[in-house]
Amino acid sequence: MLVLLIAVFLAAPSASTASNRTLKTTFARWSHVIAVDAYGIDLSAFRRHPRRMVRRARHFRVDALHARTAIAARRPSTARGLRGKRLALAAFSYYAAVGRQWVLSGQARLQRHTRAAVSHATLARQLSVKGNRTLIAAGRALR
Amino acid sequence: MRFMKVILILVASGLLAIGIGATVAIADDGGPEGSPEACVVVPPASAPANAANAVSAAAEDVSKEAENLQGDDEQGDAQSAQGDDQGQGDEQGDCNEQDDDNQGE
Repeated sequence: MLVLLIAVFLAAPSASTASNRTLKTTFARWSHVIAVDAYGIDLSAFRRHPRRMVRRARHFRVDALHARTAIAARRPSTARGLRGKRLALAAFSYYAAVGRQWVLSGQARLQRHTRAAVSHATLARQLSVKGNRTLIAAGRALR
Repeated sequence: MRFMKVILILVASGLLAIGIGATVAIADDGGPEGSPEACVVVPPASAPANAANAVSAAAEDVSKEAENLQGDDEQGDAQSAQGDDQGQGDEQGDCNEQDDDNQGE
């Protein structure tokens, strides 16, 4: 009986560490994917390639939604992990919205609708500030 | 009496082994994050900060370009778009490691 209790006692913290670790790994992996996507969008914008930018912005959005799905599937076992998960979900939702605005901005740019392009790009920037702040907070919670 | 002690020790050892086995199994139950990805480069802890910086820089440049009245690089854009359709032709200086051909479009 005593041995069984010891085994349960040993298993409990390991399980919670494992579930938090998987969340942390998923979060870090998708953060990396988002960073790579964003770098591509930056490059396309810098080189004035709106078609390419629109394509990449769509990809960015899809990746942000995939990140959300992957993180939603994780089950953190600590309060800190739960907070990190909630923040990470919010951050990737913001990024999905940012991607949408980038797509709209690029499309407006292609149609020579400068005012609409500026308006969507500005909205994307505002959303990205919120997303970045939330992502950093999630990273801090999951550290 | 002695025989009973031996049996008790054996049972206790067996339970301990089961307990340790369960601990290891639960700890390794990471689904996709489990052992198959041990050979994959794990993103550094600074990944969120890197992502935030990259998104911030992209947002800045997209805004700047939207405001820029200078014409687009039509030729380069057409070439890169064509490259996309053929699954090749990344922009110069592009180190995007992913194939972004129409995923989710």
